[in-house]
Amino acid sequence: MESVDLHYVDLACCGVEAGSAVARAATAELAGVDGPAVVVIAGTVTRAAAALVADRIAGIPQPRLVVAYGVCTITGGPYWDSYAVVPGVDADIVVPGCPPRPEALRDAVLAAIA
Amino acid sequence: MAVNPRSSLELVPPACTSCMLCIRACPVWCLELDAHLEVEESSGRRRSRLELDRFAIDYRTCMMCGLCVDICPFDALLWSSQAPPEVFEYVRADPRPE
Amino acid sequence: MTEDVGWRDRLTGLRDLGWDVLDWLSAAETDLGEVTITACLIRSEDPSDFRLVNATAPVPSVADIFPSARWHERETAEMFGVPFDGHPDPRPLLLDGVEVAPLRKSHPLPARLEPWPGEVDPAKPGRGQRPPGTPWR
Repeated sequence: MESVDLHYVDLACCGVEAGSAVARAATAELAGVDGPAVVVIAGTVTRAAAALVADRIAGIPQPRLVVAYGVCTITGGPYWDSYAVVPGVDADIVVPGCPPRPEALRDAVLAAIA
Repeated sequence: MAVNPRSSLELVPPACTSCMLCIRACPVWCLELDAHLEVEESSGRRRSRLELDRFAIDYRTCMMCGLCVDICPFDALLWSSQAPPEVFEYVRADPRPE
Repeated sequence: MTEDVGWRDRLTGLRDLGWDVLDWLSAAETDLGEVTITACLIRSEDPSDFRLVNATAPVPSVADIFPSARWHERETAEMFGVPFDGHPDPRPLLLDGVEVAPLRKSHPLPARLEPWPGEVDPAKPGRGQRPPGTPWR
């Protein structure tokens, strides 16, 4: 049986929370669940890292769902006005919080796949 | 599963005086407020007060810092354990007297 | 502005006295709009022993004396918009294509295009405020 392919881009503090969520979800909640590849972007996206994140997302074939985990990836978060930060990434699923609870990632991904 | 007591914000509209302190305290500019001045005569004196028309919270950018809850002098913003919507909007129900 | 030609002499002199490692080099903008360059030198035998040297920008590059200054001077140059004359590799280090030096006080902090929701007080319309971090000069 297929299971959801979980990819995870760890950039900053949200990476710690998302890491625990992804590790659990891959083995527990999403094991055996059929669905598109899910790539979780967690942490502030700096301008220097923006191209790398875009490449990482593009490298995952369709169908894929991009999850913006944490406000930094949605709108730039507390650093939205910084010269060095990209104020959010284009995402299919949005998980707000600073950081969101790991359970919020599980709930958002399950709701999107369903 | 334990409920997170600080999942979102709760607005208490009767307590809000539209003083704008929360709007200015928010570091990510996620709060919006619209209000209008109501002037009334009571026992020969003209009094004016602000009526809250619209209050909006953009949870996509809210980082749950609680500065708005902390600074509100009237406890019109409180922590809540409800899961947040993407955007919360309160619009005053009674129409403005024209 | 005259270049501080004593800058290299001062740093070389300290190096000869034993402070032979440049820990960091950075800058700060004063109230008068001048940029002050600060270098921190430490002794390799006792790294907790440091000396700070200050000068008003622009100063010549010391990257040939202290190799660690190469990156510090590149970063300071792009963040404060000050040149380091004689730097062997004056490319930007962290930013690409940022017009105004971000750490100068003239660089405004809020970057959004829509107006600040706290701009107007409903009780006193017309008396606008500006968001925190807006340069007041």
